[in-house]
Formats: sequence, C-alpha cells, structure tokens
Amino acid sequence: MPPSISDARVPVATTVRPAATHPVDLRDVVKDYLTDAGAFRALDGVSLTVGAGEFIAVVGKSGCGKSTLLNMITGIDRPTAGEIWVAGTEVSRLSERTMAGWRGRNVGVIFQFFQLLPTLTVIENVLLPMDFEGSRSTRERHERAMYLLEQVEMVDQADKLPLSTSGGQQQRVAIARAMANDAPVLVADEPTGNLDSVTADAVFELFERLARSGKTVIMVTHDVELAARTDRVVHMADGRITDGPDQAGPHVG
Amino acid sequence: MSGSVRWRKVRGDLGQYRARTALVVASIAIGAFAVGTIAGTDALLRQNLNDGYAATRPAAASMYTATGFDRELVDVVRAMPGVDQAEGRRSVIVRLLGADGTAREMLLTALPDFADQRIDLVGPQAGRFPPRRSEVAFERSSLRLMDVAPGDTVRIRTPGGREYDLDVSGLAHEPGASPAFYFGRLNAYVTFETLRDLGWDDSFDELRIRVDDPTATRAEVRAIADDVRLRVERAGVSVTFALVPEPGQHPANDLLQSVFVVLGGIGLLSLVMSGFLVANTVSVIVAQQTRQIGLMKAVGGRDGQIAGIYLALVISYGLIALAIAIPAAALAAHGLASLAAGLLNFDVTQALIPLRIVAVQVAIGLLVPLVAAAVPVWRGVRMTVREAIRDSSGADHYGHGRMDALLARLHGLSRPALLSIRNTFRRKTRLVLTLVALALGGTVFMSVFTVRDSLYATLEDTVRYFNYDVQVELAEPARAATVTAEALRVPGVLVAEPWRFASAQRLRPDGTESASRVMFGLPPGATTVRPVIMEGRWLVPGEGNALVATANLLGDEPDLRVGDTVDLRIQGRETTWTLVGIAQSPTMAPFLYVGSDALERSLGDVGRVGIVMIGTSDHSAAGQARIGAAVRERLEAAGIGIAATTTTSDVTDTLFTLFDTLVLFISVMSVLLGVVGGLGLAGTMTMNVVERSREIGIIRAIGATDQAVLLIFLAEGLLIGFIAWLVGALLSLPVSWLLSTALGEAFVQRPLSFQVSWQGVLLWFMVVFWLSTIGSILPAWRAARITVREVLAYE
Repeated sequence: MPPSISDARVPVATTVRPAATHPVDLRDVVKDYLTDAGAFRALDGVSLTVGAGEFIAVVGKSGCGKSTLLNMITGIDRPTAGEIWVAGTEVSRLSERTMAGWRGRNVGVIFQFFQLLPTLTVIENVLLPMDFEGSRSTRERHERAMYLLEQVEMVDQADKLPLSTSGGQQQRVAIARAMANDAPVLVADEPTGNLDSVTADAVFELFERLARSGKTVIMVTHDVELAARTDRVVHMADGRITDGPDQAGPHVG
Repeated sequence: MSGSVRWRKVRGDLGQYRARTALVVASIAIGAFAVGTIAGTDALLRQNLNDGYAATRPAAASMYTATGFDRELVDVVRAMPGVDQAEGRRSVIVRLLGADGTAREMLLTALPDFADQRIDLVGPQAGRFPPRRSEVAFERSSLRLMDVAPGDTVRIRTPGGREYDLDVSGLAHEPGASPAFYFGRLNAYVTFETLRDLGWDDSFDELRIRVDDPTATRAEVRAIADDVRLRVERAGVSVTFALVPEPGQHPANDLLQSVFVVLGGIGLLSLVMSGFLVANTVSVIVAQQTRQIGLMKAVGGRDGQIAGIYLALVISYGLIALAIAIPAAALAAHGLASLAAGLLNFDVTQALIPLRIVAVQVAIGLLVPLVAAAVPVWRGVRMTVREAIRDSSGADHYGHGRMDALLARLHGLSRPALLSIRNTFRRKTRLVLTLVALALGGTVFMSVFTVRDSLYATLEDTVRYFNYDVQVELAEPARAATVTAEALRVPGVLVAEPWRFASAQRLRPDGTESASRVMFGLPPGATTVRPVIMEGRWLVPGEGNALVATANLLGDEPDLRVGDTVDLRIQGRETTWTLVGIAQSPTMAPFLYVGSDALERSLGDVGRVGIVMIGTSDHSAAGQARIGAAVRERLEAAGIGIAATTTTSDVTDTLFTLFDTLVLFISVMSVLLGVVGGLGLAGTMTMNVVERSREIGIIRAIGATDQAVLLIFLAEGLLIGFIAWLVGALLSLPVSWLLSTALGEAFVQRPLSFQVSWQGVLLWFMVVFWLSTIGSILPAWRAARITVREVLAYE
C-alpha cells in the first residue's frame, strides 16, 4: 500500500464541535497518495452528508474512490485535506490510539469477505466488540448478542464456528457484530459481493430494517439493482461524486 | 529461470528477513555447536588421557603390603614369567604443619631411583626434580590444597610426634596418581635417605608390576598378579590389598565414558531441538511465500527447480551457522577438555579437534536442516498454481479438528482470552514444533536439578550408612581398649568404635581366586555402621564365622546366595565363613563385614585394631576436622601412631566438587537450549502475528485498543510457555531417572537415590515465564502497532 501524504500529520487531541444534524458529514475531502509513479489523487474535494435513518449506496467503477471514501468515514484512512465528521466527532483529528475505541462505539463496519474471526463461535464474534467497549455487564452482553442474532435469524447457529456456516450466514453474523455496540453509523463495503442473489436479497433487507430503525447505512456496491432500492445512490468517478446538485442529500427528519 | 536469478532470490530472502535468518542460523548453530563441543571434548580427552597415561608406563597391578620387603624380592618378581618390570615404593603419611598452626595430612612417597623409574613415571613440573636429601617435591595437584613453591621450607610431623623441616625443591607430576584434592591429602616425593632421616627404614610397602604382553586382558594380568602375590607371601611378606585396573585405560576412563554418554544424550537432544526449530521456521517461510511459489509455477517453474531455491536457502543458513559453530565448538571443546584435565591431573597437549569431528559438524549443519526442511518445502512446491495463488491462511481450516471442537466448547472466559487460547492451538504442527524445542531445554534443566538432588540424597544415605564422623587409621595396630579409652576422653567424641581391617580373597569352588576385598571386623553391637539389609540378616554378636557382604560383590561373585559357605584367604590364612546377609552397597567398592572377634580368631591376633570410627557431637565439616585433629593429638600423645584421619565431609566434598562441575556444564547447556527454545517461541509468535495481520485489522476495526491487541498475543505466548513447562516437567521425570542411573553408576557405581527437585521445577517455571514474555513481547507489540489501514483498507 503506498504511503499516504497524510501519514505525516501528527494527530492531535479530539475536538468535538457540534456538527450539523447529519451523522455523516464530509466537507471537501481530498486524499492523495504518493507512489513511485508520482502523486495520485484518490478523492478530489468530496463533500457528502448522510442523515440519520438514511440508507445510501455508493457506486462507481473500480478505482473511482468509493472504498477510499468508506475508509475516510470509518477512520481507517485519513484525508489529505478537508473535514470528516461522523457521529459528532471530527474523525480525521483522532489519534490512532483513540481511533479503535471510537470506531467500536460509533461505526459498525461490514466487509466484503465477512471477516469473522475463525476461532470464535458465532455468538463470540458478536460479543467481542462489546468486550472491547466494556460498558455492559457480562449478562447484558450475552442478552444483547442473542437479541442481535435473533434479528439476523442466526440464533440457532450461536455456538457454531464460522467454518460450519454458509457465506450468507457469516455475512448476517457480521451485520450483527457491526451492531454489537449500537453504533449509529453502519458502513458496508460490497456486503453482497460474494453472495448469491437470494442471500444478497436477505442481507439487503436487513440493512433496510436497520435504516428504518434509525441507523445511517452507507453501502458500497457494484449491484445496480440493489443500489436502486436504497434511499439515494451516490455515483463516483475519478475521485469525485458525479451526482447533481442534490449530492448533499435530503435531510432525513 | 536462470541460475543467477535464483541465487539473487536466495540472497534477497536472506537479507530481507534478517530476524528469521538469525533465528534459523541460531537453531542450526546450537545443534552443531553442542555436538561439536561434546564430541570434540571427548576426542581430546581420550587422545590426551589414554595416550598421556600410556606414556607414564602405568602399573598393570599394584600390591600393598603390611610388612616391608627389599630390592631382592623386587628382583625375584621381575624375573617371574609374564612380568616385564617390577618396582617397589614406600609411602608414609605425615602431617604438614602450617604457619597458622593448622596441620594437613601428606602422603610422602619414596622411589628407589628417580633417575631410573620403570613404572608409573613421576616427572618434573617446576623447580628441581627429583629432590635431594632433606628436600621434598610436591605433586602439582597439591597446589589446590595449599600454596607452596620451590625454595619454600615446610615443617612436617611424623606419627611418632617428631618434627622436621624439609626444603621444597620443586613440583612433580604423576598422571596416574589420584589428584591430591580428591581426598584432601597432599602428595609429595622424597628420597629414601630423607625417609630414613625421618625415622623410617628403607623397605618397600608397595609393589608395582608391568606384564610382558601389552595386549594381555585384565583376567590374564590378574592371573600373573596372583602368582606374584603368592610368591611374595611365600617370602613372608603379608599382602593386604592387590589392585588390577583395566589394562591400557586411565582409572578415570570409565567415569569419563559414563559422563560422555550423558553429555552425548544432551548433544543429541539439542540436535533434535535444532531440527524442530528449523522445520518450524522453514515451514512458515514457505507458507509465507506461497503466492510467490504460485507465481513462479505460473511462469514455468518446475517443482524441482522451486524446491531447489528453498533448499539452497536452507543450505545457506547451514553454511552461515557452521561458520559460527565450528570455531566456537573448537574453543569450547578445548576449554572443557582443559577443565576436565585439570580435575584429573593431566595435560591437554594435543589441542586440535580431529577432522572427523569437524566433518560431523558440517554434516549436521547441512544435513539436519535439509532433512528438517524437506517436508515443508516439498509440500509447499507441490501445491497447484490455483491453490498457491488463492489465499490459504489457515483460517479456512480452523474448526475441523477435535481439538478445535473441544476448545469451541470452552466458556466463561472473555473473548480476548478465548482468542488467545484457541489461537495457541490453531497451527498445531507449528505449536508442537515450538513446544518440543522449548520443552527439551526445560527437560534437561529440570533433570539436572533432580539428578543433583538425587546425588546429594545418595551421599546423605552413604553418610547415614556409615554412622561416623571421623575415621582414624592407626600407623600400627594397637590395643583396642587403649585406643577407645583415649579417644573417648576427647571433648566432642560421643562414640569411639574400634574396627579391624583386613584384606580377603574368595577361594572359589572352581579353584580360582577373587581380587582382594576389604573386610571390616566390627565390635559387637557396632553403631557406626547402619547397613540396609537387602537379603538375609545382619551380624549377631557372639556368633561364629558369619559374613555379610555388600550387594555389589555379587557382580563379581554371582553364584553366592545367603546361607552359602564361603572360603576366604585372609592375609595368607584360609578360613571358612557363612554368608548370612546381603547389605546395600554404600560405595563403589564391595565390603565384607564380620565380627571382630571372629576375624581375630581367624588371624590369630586378638585385641588389636587398625581403625577407630569416631562419632562426634559436631557434624559440620569444621567440627569434624577439629575433633578429628584433637583425637589424633590425644592418641599420638599416648604413643599411638596415626597414619591418617579422614572425615566424612572430606569424602563427600570431593564427590560434590567433581559432580558440581559436570552439573554446571549441563546446566549451562540446558539454559542455552532454553534460550534457543525461547527464540523459537519468538519466531513462532512473529509468524503468528504476520499471518493474522488481517484478523488484527478486524479486531481493531471493531474497537480493540493497542493494549487489548498486545495482551491477546502476550497471553498466547505465555500459554505456549506454560504448556512447554508442563511438558518439560513431565518429561524430566523419566529423563532424570535415566540420567541419575547413568551418573550414579559412573560416580558411585550404583543408581542414585532418586529425588525430584521441586526447586528445579520452580526455577524453570520462572525461566520459561521470562523467556515466553521476552519472546512474545516484541511480536505482541508489533501486532498492537498494526493499523486497520495497513491490512484491510485496500484489499
């Protein structure tokens, strides 16, 4: 992975300023990478707001910057310029040390390849983020984990290892894990990319339910049919959002 | 793919992964070093010991007499069939008085003609040798007991109480003699003129012979020695003891052989450990390069060509390791050989390790890693391109095995703790290899402590067996009642038991005779010996010719049974005894116990004893020495000459000195093995972090802090260390039993009294805790530094 220009930035203490009502607010975000072939601009002044309970899809060709965009929102990567506000925190100013804890509480991340820990059972995978966050008692954690597994229809597989479950089931568990700490924002990178259409549908319905319950859901996908079913589709090309004037998105009230 | 490009890859891999290269090189080097050091030390000792010993023209047989004899008898013996050379000596025990008032026993030996020595040559070491009249030359091993130099003057006191000054002319070296520090007694040489000046006559009391046939077996030598003894006794000289050692071998040869069997076992263990570590590391290297292998195959690389690259890498590791191990082993072998030579009082003159040892090291340094790497390399290159390019991190396989299923049922712990535990068992082959390496070091370490404790327990058993503190040997037999009464007057003496001593040979039914055996005649109700009866019973006061033998006699007399009649020749007289019991053997030499009254009747000599066993109130080494000296003074003042006083501390201290040197060496080796095992653990943890970097990214994505990640990996490392400790502790039981049997036979000629050392087990627990912590902390820290961006962001 090429070094990022923003790697030179020294993180400073978090400054939480009251942001807009939007759970996700990107303002003129730029991301440049240094490669042996020269500087490469992955995001070119992207601005985007996503409201609570809004379910958006980010689409675009490979290399258009959609994964980079997601990584900015989750704090996995840092912008070269601009501001990124998520759940009321300017994410780009968090230190690496505090980032993990912040992320665990505020952002649920769902990866394309499920990324369940193979040595933990289904329920243990869901419990793990709560263990890191540490605010709930043991009993509360277990109760919540079972509740979440019920929501994703995986209660019967609670004590199984990931190896004993299908791809679709693993993705459901990944969604439950992403919800473990009741994060207000969910980010999913190609969550149905490795699933058959029936399973993909079922997973998508889960996202819809979560959005209806007030979560902000941002999904990167190649599946234009699924994208069309979301509240809003954000098109990206060459590091920019190519949608029209309403790219800032409707305010969800 | 051209050869030069392949070599570039090999060089590149060596340079790029320096920590891994260092680990594999260290693993190979330790095995080659251990084997080279032990084999080299053994070779140097054998070369120098036996060759050096042979150069001194060692005696084939030695006889010690109760009455003196002259040169005429020596000439007669020299002319006997089978005898090549014969020589007489005289040895007396005096006391050397220190300036601080202390006195130390000294064995003074007079040779008939220093310029024309024929047997057991004594050579010059420093200053002037041989000494002249009124001069004395010290055997060089005496310098460990006291400082003395040519030109000094020393004062001696004879058993008769007279004192004389002798000038120290120089130092001598007698390779075949027991070193002075073994028994805490100085060794020195004087002329017969000096001996006469000190009050002795110039008769001999030792006869040493060499035989015509240099290839004669021990049995053949013994037959010649028996003829010589008979001839000597016919001349009216009483032979008290005859010694026939194994021909052509230094007396310490058996001891060294046993020790080297043990060391060889440790060398082998270190080699096995080295192999496991190499296999472990190479399998990880290959696993990490799976995609590269797939790519090489995709561009036309054949299995053999690709395997050749990795085997060339392994050979490179071996060559680097040998460049370190060969010179290091040569140095260590020379150092160890010199240390052992110092303990055995001979010199290492030929210092070059035989080439065959170097060849063995080269073979080990190249073959062991090749064999260890063969399977993982072949497995790696046999993968199809599709398999190799597809990610196969092992995550796909977790959950198949029974262990995985069992661990999945583990509940009640936090998930991070469960991660640590289950990840420990994830790569089972790698875990086993790591455990074996670490456990082997622990096994050796704990075994050494157990063997040490077992030796101490054995020596304590021996001391309990002989329930005395000081043994006083009289210069001449004296009246038992007088000796006992005088000894009991000394403050601190609680018990004074007079023992008779004689030398006896068994007259076997087939007409042959045994070697001389030590026979003790004990007073009725003796308390200074507490034998452990294995069969039959102990002596009963007042019974006739009853005999109890120690169990190690049965090795040479396997036909004997309790109840048998035994014919013995005791100082020329043929007698008959009944074997009533077999007792445990406390020392390497077999003993015969009889009642002193029965022995006196057999010898026709009543009421006189040669030994007094003293029990003191103070059992410390200093107390025994102090009271023993007081008893000597008392008896000498009463006109009873004393030949020697020996405390039990003197005897046990000598064995401790010898044994502790060996224990120290083995302990150092085992710590080295442990450190390499720790390196193996560090390597394993490093590989685990690298392989699980994506999972680390996941757990950081879901909220794990640096500390949480660090603790997960640290806990895994500590768990591996704990399991290795447990396995090592369990393995150390049979291993230490084997070691204590082997070393017991070597040092005290019987298995040691086995005693597990909990101190060793605990100490190793602490060592392995620190090794595991140090071995895991850096990989764990590295894991904690991994960011999500590094491993997940751009898949």
